[in-house]
Amino acid sequence: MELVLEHVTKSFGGLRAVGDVSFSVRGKAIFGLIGPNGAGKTTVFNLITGVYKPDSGKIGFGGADLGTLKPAQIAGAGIARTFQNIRLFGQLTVVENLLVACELQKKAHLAAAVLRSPVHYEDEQAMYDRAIELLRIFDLHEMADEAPTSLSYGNQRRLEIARAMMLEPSVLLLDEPAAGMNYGEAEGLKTQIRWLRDTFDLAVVLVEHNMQVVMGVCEEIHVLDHGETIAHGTPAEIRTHPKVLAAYLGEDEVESAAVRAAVEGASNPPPPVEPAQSPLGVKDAPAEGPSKQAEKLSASELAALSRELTESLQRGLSKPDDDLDAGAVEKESANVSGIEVVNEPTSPVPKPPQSAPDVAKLDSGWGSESDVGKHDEESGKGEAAPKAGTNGVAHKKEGS
Amino acid sequence: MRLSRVAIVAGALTVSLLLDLFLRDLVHDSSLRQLLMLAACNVLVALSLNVINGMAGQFSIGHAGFVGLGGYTSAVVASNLHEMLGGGEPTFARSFIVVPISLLASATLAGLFGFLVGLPSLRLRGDYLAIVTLGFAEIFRLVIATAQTGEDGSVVARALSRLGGQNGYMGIDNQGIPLYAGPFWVFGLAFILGVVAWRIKFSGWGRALRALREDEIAAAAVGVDPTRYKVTSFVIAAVGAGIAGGLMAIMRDGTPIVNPDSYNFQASFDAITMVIIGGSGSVTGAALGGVFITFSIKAIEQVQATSAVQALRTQFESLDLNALRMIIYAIVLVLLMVVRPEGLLGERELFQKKRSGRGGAGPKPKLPPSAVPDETVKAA
Repeated sequence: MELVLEHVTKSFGGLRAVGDVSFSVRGKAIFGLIGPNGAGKTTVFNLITGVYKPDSGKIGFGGADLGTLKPAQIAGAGIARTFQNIRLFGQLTVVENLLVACELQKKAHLAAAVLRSPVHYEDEQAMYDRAIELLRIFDLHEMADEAPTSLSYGNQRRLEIARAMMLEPSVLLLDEPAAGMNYGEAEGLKTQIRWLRDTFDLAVVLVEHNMQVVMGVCEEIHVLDHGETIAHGTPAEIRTHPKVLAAYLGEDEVESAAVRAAVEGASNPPPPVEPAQSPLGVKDAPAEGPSKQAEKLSASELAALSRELTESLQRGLSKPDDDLDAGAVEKESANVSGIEVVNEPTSPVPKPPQSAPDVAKLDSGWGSESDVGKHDEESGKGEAAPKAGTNGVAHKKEGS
Repeated sequence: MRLSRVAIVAGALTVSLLLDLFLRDLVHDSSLRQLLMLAACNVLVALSLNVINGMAGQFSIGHAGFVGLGGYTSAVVASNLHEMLGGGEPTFARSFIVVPISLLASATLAGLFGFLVGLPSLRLRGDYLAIVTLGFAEIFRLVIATAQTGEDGSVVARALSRLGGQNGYMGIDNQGIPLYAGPFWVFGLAFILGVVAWRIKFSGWGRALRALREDEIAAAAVGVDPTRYKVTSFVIAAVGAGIAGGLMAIMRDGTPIVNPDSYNFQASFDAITMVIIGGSGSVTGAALGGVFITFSIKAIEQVQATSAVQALRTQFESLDLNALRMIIYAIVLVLLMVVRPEGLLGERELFQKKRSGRGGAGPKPKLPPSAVPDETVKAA
């Protein structure tokens, strides 16, 4: 089944959180939805799952118009999701968390449960077995009777995915599954996502800041900035897309990087965007190897930056405390301690200070609600109008 | 397993039946007899309120409204049926006609109003919903209390006027309400509905309700429709309260009073106290709370009768511990909230079977090779 968004728009008061976004996700695709903070990615998820209703536009799924359905019905239609901030049922045990997701599939309803008819027992047993099977797949079965709050952070994330899988979805929406994961865990996640797709025969839509995961696993990527589509294509296309680079790095930086690369030629290693003075060093940086072309160059810079941030994330993990209800603007910030990005505007025209936050956007948004994050949000709102104007030639493509 | 279940039900009904026949001989004190049966009714009140306040996490402070609705309905229906059957002394044989029909009427009417009150629960949360429920209970009480007696006015006004206004319903032509519900019905129903409450809690439906209480958005995202589950929980609670009120109104061995003041805010508050003392969300806890609150009345009476209190009374003539009951409750509640905020049992149950080992047992799953990186994730 195909999930199709056509010209979907959603505003919160004066803030246009999602503006005229169109894309489609084919069955069995791994689809990435990326963009800087406040780009409207989570809002798109909330629109698809019915938490919000679109102001205009149409969200179709296998012939059904999701805009008219309630969240529970959308879940029943085969769209399951996880949440950016983990939302488990704390008072229920791990296995009960999965069993709740069976309500729609149950044959035995309340009357049968009260009478304890054979149907009820069969149902409960079948559901329980299926839940345990899923827990085994996610290696959580030994904690089946524990409280989810006692699980480690990574396990809680995987429990959320397991709970979503209980719905037997045909589309799985993952909202920042790699948040707070280190390099190794993120690598594992990539394998798991592919494995989920192949085993359960479903499409995966991924909102993620972690470029390692997005570029590694997605077959198709849709980039949002300030609620508008700025690019759509394969990871290779997105890596080199000027608008994407501009959105992430700032336009001046992209230009200067491209110019430098062109001047220095193919054989030289890429000049680092930032002075490599991070206390962690750039252990993984050479993995990409020297780039041969100018476009390739800026992409590898991107990758290097991404790795830097992953490294820094390994040191400083903390809990997310953003709230979906608060929702219009995603509050995401990165732990950028130890990375000082110098991005002084080269042109005399003063630009809004955006260097540090923009780099922060590169990786999984996360960490303490630092000033960086807040500032980012504000500047994001402020910039919305002029940005929308300059993005007139937004590159849109629809996967068929 | 099935056989043992049949045996348990048969046993419980037999015990109720025997109690019906011999309670008078077992317990000579009629006030204590009344208290025992009242305790069973209060257990039903607490069990039903527990569905909304405990399991669904909605805060209703108007439960007495549903109890009163059930009380009036069953009193009226029973009186009319009694009249149709020819009057006279209520007999045990006739109770098999009168009680089920009266209670069915109570449950239906209360359930209907439960549905209506439950509807706003979709949009309102916490305090606001509490005010709606309280509003319902007060409207119900005041409509009956302020109804003019007399035979003029519209059909509705005349019907309401027959309910006795502030003085309460006294049966047809003030003959009194026929008291059909003996211990068989009271204890039997308390047992059966207790089992129902237990099964509701430990069903997928109860689980979904608890999930909804934890996180509405997440519950909706896995297919639990908040609308349906919340409204259903209101209806179930109202039906339970209607049955409890209906039983209380036609309960034998006492002088049940069906008047508006029996269903005031005080009564709602008692119901909340029962649930909270026992532990919100716990079926056995609610039952314990119901028994505890009912007998605390008796206990305070006993304290009142002790020589120490009598000696005090010679000095302070107006000392009346019964009047101080609410203050004593309040102190008990405050202490309980300080020491054990989750109530006596919390959400746990007495006699709860622990499901253990089943998750970890069994052969290791045949994991596909691609899922093996899980191990690295675990190690990291």
